Amino acid sequence: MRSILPIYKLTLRSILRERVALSMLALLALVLLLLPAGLETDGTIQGALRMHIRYSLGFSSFLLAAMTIWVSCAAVAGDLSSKRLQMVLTKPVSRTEIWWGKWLAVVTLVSCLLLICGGVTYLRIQRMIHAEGLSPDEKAKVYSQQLTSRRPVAPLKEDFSEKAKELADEQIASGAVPPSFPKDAVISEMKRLLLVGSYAASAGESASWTFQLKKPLQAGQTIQLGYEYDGSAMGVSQIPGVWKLGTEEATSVFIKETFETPYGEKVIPIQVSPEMAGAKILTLSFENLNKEGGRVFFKTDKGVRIFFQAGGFILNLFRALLLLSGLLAILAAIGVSAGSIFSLPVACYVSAVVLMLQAFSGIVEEVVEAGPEQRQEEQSVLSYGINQFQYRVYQGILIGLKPLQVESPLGRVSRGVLISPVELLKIFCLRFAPVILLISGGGILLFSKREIGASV
Amino acid sequence: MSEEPVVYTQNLQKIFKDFWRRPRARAVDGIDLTLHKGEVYGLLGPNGSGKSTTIKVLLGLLHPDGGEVKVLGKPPRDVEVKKRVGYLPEESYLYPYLDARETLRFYAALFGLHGAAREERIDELLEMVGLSHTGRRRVGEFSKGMARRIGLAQALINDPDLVILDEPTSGLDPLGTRQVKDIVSALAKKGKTVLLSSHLLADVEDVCERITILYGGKVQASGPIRELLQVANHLQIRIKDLDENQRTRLLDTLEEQLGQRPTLEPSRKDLESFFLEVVAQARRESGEGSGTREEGQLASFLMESAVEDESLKMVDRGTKL
Repeated sequence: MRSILPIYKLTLRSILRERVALSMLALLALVLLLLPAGLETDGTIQGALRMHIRYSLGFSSFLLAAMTIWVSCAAVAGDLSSKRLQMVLTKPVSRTEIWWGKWLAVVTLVSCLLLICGGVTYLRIQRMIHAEGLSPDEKAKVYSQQLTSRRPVAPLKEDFSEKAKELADEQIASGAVPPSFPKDAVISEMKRLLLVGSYAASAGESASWTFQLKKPLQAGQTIQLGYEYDGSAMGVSQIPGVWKLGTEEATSVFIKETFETPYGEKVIPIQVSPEMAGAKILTLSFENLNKEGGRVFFKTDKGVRIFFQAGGFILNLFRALLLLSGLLAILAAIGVSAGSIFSLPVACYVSAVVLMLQAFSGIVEEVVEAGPEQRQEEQSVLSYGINQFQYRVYQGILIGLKPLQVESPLGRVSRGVLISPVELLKIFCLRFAPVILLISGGGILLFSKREIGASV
Repeated sequence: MSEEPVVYTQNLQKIFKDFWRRPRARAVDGIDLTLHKGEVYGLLGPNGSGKSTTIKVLLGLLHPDGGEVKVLGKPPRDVEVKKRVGYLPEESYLYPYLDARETLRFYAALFGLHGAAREERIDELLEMVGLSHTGRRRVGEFSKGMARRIGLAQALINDPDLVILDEPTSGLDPLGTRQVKDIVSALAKKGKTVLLSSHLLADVEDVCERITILYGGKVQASGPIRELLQVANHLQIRIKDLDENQRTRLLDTLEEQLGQRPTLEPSRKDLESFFLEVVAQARRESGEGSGTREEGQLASFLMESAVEDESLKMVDRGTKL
């Protein structure tokens, strides 16, 4: 493995001499410096910060992903087409060393660039806060809700299996569902409806949740109630309601009335009172005071959470950047492997397809979750077969993309949600590393079998 | 020779296939080669005759489709074999953004050479190929001849036992060509084996002991160069300093004895020798030219024990053009 270092150093130099890579670097610098000026925000400092972190840094990450594809594919395929690799391969260097040397160089470069982008964004955020002329209270709010890292605790999940079965049986028995419809699909739909129902409050009624904490609450400790309405499900502009937080014994220790738009994440800071101190189980309820309006829906995934202070913003941002680096490292592995097998244009195309699939994995997930299409009476066997085949392809793509599906690190950082070191380590060890090893293994195997300089 | 051959191929076959794995061209068709230690072997043939393909198989870049291949007693892809092989491809495929020293450092590092020993070796090689003055100038800005020189230096960086040179003199001026030939001879004297592929037949004739001529991927002729070039029923008589009277008498005598009057032609230098003499004279009078400098000593690590050999001393003198 002694040859990895010279290959690594040479690849780094090579990338920094490439015109395409340098053009991408220039574009990245432009995006980083000019894009924030063109972003439209909701007028609040919180919105501006969120835009900077999610979109400015997010777009830089996307450019870096495009750069990763190019430089990783060119690292091997470019050297092969220029025949420089012929010279190298006649030396005592294994193709495994070449693969890892090239991959490490690409990952080092894009990770450093990503950290620089993160640093520039952080400095810009600090400048914004100090230039906006915010009051000390507003600043404190920004630092406690966004430029921080908070550990979220989600409510206990109810098991709707039995109830969903009962409801499904009722629906089938009443003839509301066609008999040809698979029962599993009906049960699944019932479960979804029950879950949505548990996160909804009808006019004049309440929705409630229970939280199980790992550590007992301490008096004086500040926690946050974070919630987000499913604005798309409602036709109201303002929602009046009252939040009640307490323990199993005293359910209304903390009470707060709200009257607000259904858009964006809301946060209510709560100072733990002596009555709640020592509690490990909390109860939360929301009463919908809009007696004339319809039901209020909360998002079922992260619609209602309690946050605990868990550290600073910089380290959280750093961990988010590490997660993104991990994703870029997987992309680099795909690029280097593709470049070892295919010509440069084909390798770039293959890698770009993977990137696009990853970017649109949400759509693929929705298609798979919706289940396969049921056969219509007038539908031909061929058409039905094609539909089934397409569905299986989507399923396969989703399985392949699973390791790349990480909850948006920048989204979490922009909301001040903690990315814990343990979570980071787990993702790297259990998802990223095995995937990179798998891709490298396949790439090196095919690269080793490839003949170099085959021409008549 | 009882020693194991340095290069051994028997019935070597290489077929290039298309995307669907259908045979497209039989590039090498049953080639047998045996190279021994200390031998300079020439591989000749027109374009597309299979020379480069054979070389790439010997280097492990291409996989043979049939026959047997052994280099230094092992399969060519063995890393231990690669440690003992030096290769100069037909074009010097170098990293254009590195300078000459960085290029040699990179290849030296692949052989595990580091520190002062590496730098000393690089100094000697740069001096040997006349590129020690190029400084930070990038290889991408080099002329073709300079690129060949740095290519040659990288091929010798590991003090190889087997040196494979594909068109080593292509792009070189006559001085460089002479120097390459001297280096090849010096390597052979040291016991290195050299496989030389070239279109320039005079170069091959000057340095090779045995040759193989390929055509259509097959061996057309093979053997010691002296035997192959011998023309039956033609004799050459060389006599020094004959005056006009002696010449006439000699021709008369031969005509009387043989029944045919032979022709007499004055002996001539070959153009290469003449050119080298003229340039050496010009250098003595006017100093250096541009591009490469006057080449220096043959690198000491390539000479070692054989330095006492008188013939090697002559070669050494020959490199000091």
